[in-house]
Amino acid sequence: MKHFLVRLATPIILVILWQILADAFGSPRMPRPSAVVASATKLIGSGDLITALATSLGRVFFGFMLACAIAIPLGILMGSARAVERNLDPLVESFRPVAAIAILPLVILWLGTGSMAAIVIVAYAAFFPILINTIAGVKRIDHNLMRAAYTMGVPPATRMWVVLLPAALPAILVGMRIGLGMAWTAIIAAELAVGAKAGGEGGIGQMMFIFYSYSVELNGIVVCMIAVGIVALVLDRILRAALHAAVPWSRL
Amino acid sequence: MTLQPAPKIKLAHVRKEFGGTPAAIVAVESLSLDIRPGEFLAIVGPSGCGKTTVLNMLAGLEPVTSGTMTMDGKAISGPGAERGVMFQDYALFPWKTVAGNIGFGLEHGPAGHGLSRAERDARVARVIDLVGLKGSETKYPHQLSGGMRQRVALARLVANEPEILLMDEPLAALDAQTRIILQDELLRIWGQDKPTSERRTVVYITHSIDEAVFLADRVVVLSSHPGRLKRIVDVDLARPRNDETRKSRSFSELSQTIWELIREEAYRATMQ
Repeated sequence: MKHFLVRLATPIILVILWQILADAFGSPRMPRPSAVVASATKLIGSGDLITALATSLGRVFFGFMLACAIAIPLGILMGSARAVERNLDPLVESFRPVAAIAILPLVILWLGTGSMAAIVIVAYAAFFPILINTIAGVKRIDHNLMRAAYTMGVPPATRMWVVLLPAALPAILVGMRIGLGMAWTAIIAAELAVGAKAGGEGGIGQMMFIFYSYSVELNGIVVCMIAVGIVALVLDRILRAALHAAVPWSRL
Repeated sequence: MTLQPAPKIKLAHVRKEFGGTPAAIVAVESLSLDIRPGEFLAIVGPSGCGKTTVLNMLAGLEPVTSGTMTMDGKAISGPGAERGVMFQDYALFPWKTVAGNIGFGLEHGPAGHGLSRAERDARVARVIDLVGLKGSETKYPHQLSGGMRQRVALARLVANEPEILLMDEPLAALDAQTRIILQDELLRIWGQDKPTSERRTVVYITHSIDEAVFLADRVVVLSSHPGRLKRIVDVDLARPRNDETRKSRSFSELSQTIWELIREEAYRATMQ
């Protein structure tokens, strides 16, 4: 309990400072902790906040799964076959700096402003960290483990499943953890942008957009920001716990 | 001299180069050697003599550049479950328990073909008992000491019941006391009380002369740069061998003989 309070000390001090400063120099436009709490209570009570978060999380879930389904097999292939890596590496490296939000116009033109577009954006954002870490993980596995299985007469396809994959798993999971963070960042940006067009369907990003451009409700925007931060933290902790459970032998 | 049975493995004029021409490095040069069935053969030599290269070629992990390497008359062209390897760093699967590591070859390799789940488990349990790992079945490698990991690696090798056991400095990473204990254990597990016909063939790489003499029936001494056969020393110490063997005069004499064969090159190696 004491430990818990120590961890909360900095956020609590920051909130108090925020309230003092807002009261001292505050304009009507300045969000205040007290007003934010009131706004949060209202948004939670009406179920709007939860619905928005659930919509965004659902998109992240499917987009993230799509990214894993492509990036992990591709990463294993690129990490284990030199020729494939040499071929695809320039392509990967030239797309990697293109932010997920930068492909938004193209995606909207192709897929409209619905969930499908959001899922593709999320998948794109999560794809690169998962791919890069999988490649690195496969390349860095202890060569003798593969040789040990080889000398035991284990066939190549089986070696892939029972040696290569588990040996690279710690790195793959690290990639997934980073990728999930990127996915969550990307969904907010995508929903914010899609929200500008009529027909955007929900999500926490769109909720922020509505507060910003229609009702001009700064307290609501802050509530959304805090909610986004808390969800990011929870997602990261869940994946970290999964990581420790899945690879207890690896210190990460 | 008794009549020798046909060699289990035959090396004839084996040469191994690394890298491309003209900058190729010759690791092993014109090595000819017969490995007899059921014998414990140790290979010693100064660093750079190609000991590990020889073992990797026997394992089928490295092809020979020229010459031939045959087992029971058939050319060795790649790894096979009949030739088991124990690696210097043990190469244990960190995500598998002790029992999972030992049963790995039975579960995924040809060593387990035709065995039911129960038979495989029974064999794993028997081997765990044999190497003294009872009670550690569900532990993971990172929870074990170096000596225990070594036992797991040995158990994994034994569980697959290969005809040839290829061991690359298996005790090199251990402290002196653990080494001596495991040398005794190794001979017990190998079956030094049994007649030669029931023992498996072992090729054992080591840099320790005492260890080679204590364990082996014959010690192959290699010279370095490139690795060539210098001499084969017969170790006619009685079995079973134990602490008495280590204290005996013939033991130290044999060690001394081998040391004199490689001393000059070993000194030179330390100056490089």
